[in-house]
Amino acid sequence: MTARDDEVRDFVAARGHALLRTAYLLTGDQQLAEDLVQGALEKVVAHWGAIRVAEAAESYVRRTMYRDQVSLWRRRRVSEVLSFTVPEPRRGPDSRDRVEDRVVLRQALMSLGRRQRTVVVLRYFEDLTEQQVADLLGISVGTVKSQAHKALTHLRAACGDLTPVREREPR
Amino acid sequence: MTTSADRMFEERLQVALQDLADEVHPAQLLDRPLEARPRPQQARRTLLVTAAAVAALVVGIASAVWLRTDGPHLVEPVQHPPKIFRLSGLASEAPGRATMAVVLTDTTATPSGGPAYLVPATGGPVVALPSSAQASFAVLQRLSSDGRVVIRQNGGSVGAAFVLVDLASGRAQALDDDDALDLALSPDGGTAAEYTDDAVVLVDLGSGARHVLWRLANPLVAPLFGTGASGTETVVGSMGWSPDGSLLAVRDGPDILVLDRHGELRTRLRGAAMVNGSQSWSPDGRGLLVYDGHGPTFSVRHLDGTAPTILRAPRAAVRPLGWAGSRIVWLTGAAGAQRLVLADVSATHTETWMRFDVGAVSVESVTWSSALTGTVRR
Repeated sequence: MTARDDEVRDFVAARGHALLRTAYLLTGDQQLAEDLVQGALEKVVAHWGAIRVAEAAESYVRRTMYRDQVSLWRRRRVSEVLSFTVPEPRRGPDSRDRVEDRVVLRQALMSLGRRQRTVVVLRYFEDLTEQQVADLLGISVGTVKSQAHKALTHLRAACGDLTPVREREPR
Repeated sequence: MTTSADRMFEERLQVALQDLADEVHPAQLLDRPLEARPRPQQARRTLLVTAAAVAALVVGIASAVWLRTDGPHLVEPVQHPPKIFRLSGLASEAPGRATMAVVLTDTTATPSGGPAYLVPATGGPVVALPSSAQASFAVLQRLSSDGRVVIRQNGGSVGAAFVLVDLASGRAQALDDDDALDLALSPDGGTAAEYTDDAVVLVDLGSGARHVLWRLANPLVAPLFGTGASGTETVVGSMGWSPDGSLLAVRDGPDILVLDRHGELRTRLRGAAMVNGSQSWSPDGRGLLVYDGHGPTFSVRHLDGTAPTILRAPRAAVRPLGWAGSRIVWLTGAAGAQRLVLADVSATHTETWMRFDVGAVSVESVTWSSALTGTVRR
């Protein structure tokens, strides 16, 4: 085993699951998420000599994941089933729970276009600014804003208002 | 304007996304092979660089000699587009050879996926081209330089990656390569160049034979999106064949490489950004119209190494589209009042080439055949 292999292994052990969590939100599927991360890692390995600083490596992997995911055709042949019907809005806050939120949110996320989904994940999961999202995806800030607005409108229609934060268990 | 309800939803969404991400199971990512993609050996790379340098030197000397002699004679376009582009309501699966393809923005969803309309080479009204069964959702539609084929890029979850629609017969040929991100058809229609995320691959459309023309050095820093004609984000071309089909301009990171059919690097145009397919080539094959995808500034890069000609178009000119004879064409105007403008390379003299009368819908892309690009007699 080479020093590079050790470094890659350490990096994946430390950051692999965090990358997988993001990939899961981007793809909505465990296997696809693993494929997305794996594909990005393969590209990182090719350039490991230049980017082995962990922060740089993670940034590189994430950027690759987002670009691969946003690319309209890269994974279009994956047997992903998109739901084009908006889930029924739920009756009221009393019936909501976190499991239901997850199910409905996953469906709603997957019914977004890839770019809108990626913008949502970057803005509201990764907590990046609009400028950072724009830089990462190579698009304008205006596009980030419009994509985020459309995505949120869709998500609100699909998910209702989601369970209030205060009703959730402490994380 | 963001309301308190919006902010509350965003806050709840953040927490809900964290919950959703918790569903993912830990994975043994390293259980699968994690090998780097094969890359050229250092020695081979050195050899290629040396060969490219020698080739560039030879091309430079040849160009200098060529320029001293009587150069090729540029013939202006043999046909002209209609003064006003109007939709006729006619549709045909086999409208015959075309001089121009205009794709309108799909107003119901993303800018991609709108209908394609063709200007028949024989004259007559504009004809709509029905969608192909193999390409349920076309993210890009482009006319080949011989005007005989429309190339469709399928963004749907089923069907082929690319579909080539023969306009004479209506027959659609599917090219099903998952790795292809872009496709450029050679002027003779016999070869397709596929742009993948790490290489350019040539496909012989007769035999199906494939070979790697070039390994990309910077595929990951090359966003394939730019500002489209309607001002929205869209896919932009990454390749273009020269008018005689002997050279292929390929985007590789911040540069454009000009390759011959043997994979030899003829010229590297540094910082040249994007090309817009074959119509980016000047008809004499000596220059490329390039742009950065996000602004009205673009330039003509000369293959003989002379300084680029920088063009600063009016703000409303979203992007340059290509050449018509010795002049370049750009699209300008807001939806409902769009037009194509002809400009000389100094962008000082302009005139309207075509007006679009398509209602309030935006024109997303315009491609045209060599009949409108012009030709060269040597």
